[in-house]
Amino acid sequence: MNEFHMWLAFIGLGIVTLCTRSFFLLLGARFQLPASVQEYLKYAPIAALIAIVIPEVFYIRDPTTTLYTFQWQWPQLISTISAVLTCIITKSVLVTIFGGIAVYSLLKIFLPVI
Amino acid sequence: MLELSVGLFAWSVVTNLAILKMGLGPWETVGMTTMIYAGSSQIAVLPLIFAEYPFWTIWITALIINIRFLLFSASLQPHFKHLPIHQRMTLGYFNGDMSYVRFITKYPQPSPLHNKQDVLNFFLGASLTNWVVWQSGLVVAVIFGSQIPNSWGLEFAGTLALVTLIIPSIKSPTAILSALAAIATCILTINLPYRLAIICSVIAGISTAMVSDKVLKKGSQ
Repeated sequence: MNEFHMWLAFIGLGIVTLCTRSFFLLLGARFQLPASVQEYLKYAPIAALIAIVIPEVFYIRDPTTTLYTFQWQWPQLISTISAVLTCIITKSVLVTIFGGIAVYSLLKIFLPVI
Repeated sequence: MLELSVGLFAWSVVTNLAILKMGLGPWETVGMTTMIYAGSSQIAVLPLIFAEYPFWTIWITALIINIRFLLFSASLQPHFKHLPIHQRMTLGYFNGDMSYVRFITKYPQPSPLHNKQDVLNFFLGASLTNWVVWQSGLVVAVIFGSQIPNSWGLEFAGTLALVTLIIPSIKSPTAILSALAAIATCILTINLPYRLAIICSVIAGISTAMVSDKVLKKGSQ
């Protein structure tokens, strides 16, 4: 793909992204979401984030076929479990992220040695 | 949002580094990340662009990966429907995953008790922070790219930041069931094309919440 085509693809992607992100916002006051639907939409982002996290923790992605295969990855798994517990106990974002990175890095360095 | 920024920043560095390593030049990476501003879909469509897939395949892939934002925009709409159209579009552009979750946890539904300006300021504060942090990660990735060692474990910071968003939101029995349904659906649908697993999990999460609310309410009567 030449330079021109690539930028054309990017511009199209920009428009597609902007349209999805602002779709219902653009409808403005003409659109009225029933209160019952509004109530349940609050469960959408958490489910989406879960679906983003799961592949990172439990799966590896084949770059050529782009398929995911399940694999025990101890650094990811133990770091995530420790992060969940730290988050529940300390309720601190920073402690959770730094603690999680520390656990992950240490396991990555030392697990192959054991 | 400031605390979350640590994870978001590392995530941005790693994502943009991955884009550079896929073979995109520095200026193309800057242009792409600024224009599109959607990390996961950028990573997903780049191989399609390099393999010279037709435009519609590339655009539809991005559309499907981003479809969760369609639902997010539906829940933002009641808060901002009074604003002029160009402002609503700008809010759409700046709406990122992390800032959205922060916003919707604080303002789940519009209420007459909320000051409209406060609500808008909170949204702008969270989403502009999100944007600035993401673009800083881009700049760091472009400038220091090759000097960042892989052993720092930065690639996992984004996932950990998402964990800190997910956990505090799961506080009711309905939310637990909804999350379990999302986990199960994600595992079952993980290899569907266009990363449809994300939207399948969202649909499962929402419908499980509806059903479980009905059942739990019946049980308590």
